[in-house]
Amino acid sequence: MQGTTPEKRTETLVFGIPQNGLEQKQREVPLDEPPPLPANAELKYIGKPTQRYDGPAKATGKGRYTADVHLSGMLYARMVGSTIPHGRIVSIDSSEAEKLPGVRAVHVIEHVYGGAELRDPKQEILSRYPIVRYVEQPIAGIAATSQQIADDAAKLVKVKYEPRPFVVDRTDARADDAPVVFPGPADAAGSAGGGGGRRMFRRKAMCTDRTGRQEAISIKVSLMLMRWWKPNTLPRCKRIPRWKRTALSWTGSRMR
Amino acid sequence: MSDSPSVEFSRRGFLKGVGITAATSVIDTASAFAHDAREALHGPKAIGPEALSVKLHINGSEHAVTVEPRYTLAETLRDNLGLTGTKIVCDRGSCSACTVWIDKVPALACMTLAVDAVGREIITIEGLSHGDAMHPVQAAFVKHDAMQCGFCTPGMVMSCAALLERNPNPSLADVKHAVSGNLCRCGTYPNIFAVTLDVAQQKIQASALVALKTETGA
Repeated sequence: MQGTTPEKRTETLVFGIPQNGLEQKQREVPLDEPPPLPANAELKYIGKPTQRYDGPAKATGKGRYTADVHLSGMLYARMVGSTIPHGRIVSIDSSEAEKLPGVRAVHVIEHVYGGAELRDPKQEILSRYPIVRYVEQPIAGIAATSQQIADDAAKLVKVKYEPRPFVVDRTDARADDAPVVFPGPADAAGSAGGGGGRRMFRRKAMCTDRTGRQEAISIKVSLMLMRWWKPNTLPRCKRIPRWKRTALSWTGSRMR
Repeated sequence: MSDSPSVEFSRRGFLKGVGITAATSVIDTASAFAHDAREALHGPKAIGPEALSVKLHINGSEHAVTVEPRYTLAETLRDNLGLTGTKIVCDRGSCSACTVWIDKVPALACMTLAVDAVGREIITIEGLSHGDAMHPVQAAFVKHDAMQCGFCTPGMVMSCAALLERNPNPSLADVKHAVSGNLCRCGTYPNIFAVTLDVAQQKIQASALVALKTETGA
């Protein structure tokens, strides 16, 4: 920018705070600066109410939300969540769920993506399945030809746990002998500014409640449609990270 | 229990199915015995779990659908009949997003079994408008911008329109009471109150105008 002096013009502008005295001031502005907006009354759109363009669709129920989309051959999913807040899964028996007519697939989750992860995976408790660290942690997923069948099948999956200690109170969680969530330092991507917790931060005790401790449960529909051949893309979904994460755990893809 | 002519539940089967609490079973013992006696005379009338064909009277026309007895009216409307204007949010009767009219009374479609709605007149959000002509309440919802994400809107419209059907001149408290079961996370309640009161006022003014015209005409 140095060397060339851009051409300027002088503009009279309103200066000050309304109700506290406004005055006119002369200012130099670049030549290509757009002219100031005229008074509100002369404006066509700014400051005027506009009708919501999808208002009629929403008021008449004709608008299509993700939950209203039914594609041919679409399958419906149900997650099997853990019923305990902390423990090791001993065995998962999905044979009965697989036999239910209409069930297309039962997938046992090998790694839950998106949550806090141990900085050193070698410190993890020896287990064939992921360690359960909160109620409703996804354990398996069912895909079936209808939501009802998927729900039925989820109830048929038998999970055997070896429960581990937990607390449900903050005071208990602060105790010296409180049960530990992770056997070592753990970071959660996406939390604390995106870089995980402070490097020295160590989650000490487990605190849990019935709604899960990941986030507040939203009343809005949390739903997504996925295409099998592109498991990395979520074409339509609500911005509720836990659901994305759960779905991606299922396909074995990482959230990007 | 159900007053529909073609389907009736077996109380015994129902009790078995839901594992009713001890307290309720004590209260209902007498009627349960009476029902058992009737069952012994006429044979059990349990239905399901297989799907059965039923006819539902929706928005002025008959619809034949094959549903399992456990299907709720909301699921049947959405999945079997493609009437997706009725929304399912909580699916447990606490948010009223699924509100429809059953025999002109607002009811929760997620708390009503499809087989229980047989023989009754069901009006959904799709039944309020005719083609492009919106119901006055729907038009006022658009005019007053009484929606944001719009997911609770069909249920809100059904509740507000039902209020105006039974009370043409509601107070603000009446409107608040009418939508007290409808949850809106976007917080559009003030505009919804304005909509309902506005539609009521317009109707009263219109009818007053008609009365005035006939008076002066005569």
